[in-house]
Amino acid sequence: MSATRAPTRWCWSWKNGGVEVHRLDTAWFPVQLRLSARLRGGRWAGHLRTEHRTVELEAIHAIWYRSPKAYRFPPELNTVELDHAKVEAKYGLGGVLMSLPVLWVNHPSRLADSAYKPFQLAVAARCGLNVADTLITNSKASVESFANEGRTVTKMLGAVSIVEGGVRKFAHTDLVDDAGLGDLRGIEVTVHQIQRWVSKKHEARIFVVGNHITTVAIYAHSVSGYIDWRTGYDSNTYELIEPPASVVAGVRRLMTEMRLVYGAFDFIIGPDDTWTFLEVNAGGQYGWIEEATGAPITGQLAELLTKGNSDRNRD
Amino acid sequence: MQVADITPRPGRDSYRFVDEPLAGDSAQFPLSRGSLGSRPRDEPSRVGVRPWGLRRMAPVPFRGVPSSKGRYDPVRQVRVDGEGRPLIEMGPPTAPTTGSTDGSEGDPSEDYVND
Repeated sequence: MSATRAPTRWCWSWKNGGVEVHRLDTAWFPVQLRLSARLRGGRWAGHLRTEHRTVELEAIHAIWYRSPKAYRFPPELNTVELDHAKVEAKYGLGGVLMSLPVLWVNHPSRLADSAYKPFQLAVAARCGLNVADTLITNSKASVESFANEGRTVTKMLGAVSIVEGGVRKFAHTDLVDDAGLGDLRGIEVTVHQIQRWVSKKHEARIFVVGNHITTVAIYAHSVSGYIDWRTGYDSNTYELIEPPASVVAGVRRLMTEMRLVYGAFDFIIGPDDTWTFLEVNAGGQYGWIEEATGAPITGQLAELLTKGNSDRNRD
Repeated sequence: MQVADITPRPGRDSYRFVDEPLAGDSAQFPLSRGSLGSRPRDEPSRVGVRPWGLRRMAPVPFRGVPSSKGRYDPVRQVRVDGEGRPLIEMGPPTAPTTGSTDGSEGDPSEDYVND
């Protein structure tokens, strides 16, 4: 199960529970989704309407917002018309939604901020978390110099997956070997993230849902999985563990500073039990770990969303 | 190295919406990369043109048994099989993809692997 399946579970489990859940896909706008909103007393009132349901804006008290898709406009629009429609929809529909005084998990602007890995790393370090030595560059000389100082990996800053020529491709974290260092052509084309390899016993993912913290050790049992556990789903094993208090404190500080209410943190646990922060994914998946460990993360999210909070993360 | 021309021109004077180099207002209310469509005949550029990091991009190997795709039931708001049974009742998916097991419609989710 993926995190994105969580709404399915909520819709199913809450169908008789008195909690009204509506699912909307931003890609439905404008063909399958209509918006009508008027400013009333400092908040937007009106509705979102599909063929099958109407959502009153004033009745919303919490929004789970994850992996929203781009709007889909009629193909007949020319390029100028399409650009215009995108801009107006973004500032119009996006503006109405993001200004609703509801609990967002997470707020769109905070998601946008958190997408910047260099920003995350800097915040994490300021919050007292141990952070891997990192180089962000498009300079060959800088890559060579950094790699000469020790074992090095490279990982994407954002685009870990692309569709090229109709084929979906994925780039996992990789060691930078002699062959890679011997031909750095293309480094200068864009920014690359180069990071010091961190020795590890195993890795861990910490899920923060409001005040709940759930930590799961991830044990890789393959060579590639030891470098990037995302290559080892077939053989990874998982275990609920307790992180050190200092790590929990740093995680909570980061959540506060980045104004997130949900986050999936990835850490490396070294041979000396040092926890090294890799990243926080504000929309990180948890479902397969919940299946493997029984960690009640869906329940925590459902509780958080049911409770709502009108002041918590208004922007 | 060739430098791309990003001078605003008629027809793309709203380029900052999709190409804004820093967050600014363009990254607020973020959506997926729907504006960057892949052409079926796209091929990797030659070495030196293609970003170094993209050399590591490899097709995602598919393992396991594909989950039943089903269809989205807009009334119940869950994905169901051909007989209307919610897929959520049939246990966890058996494939490492989220695209066919979530309740949304259309293209597979970007999180093709758990991340």
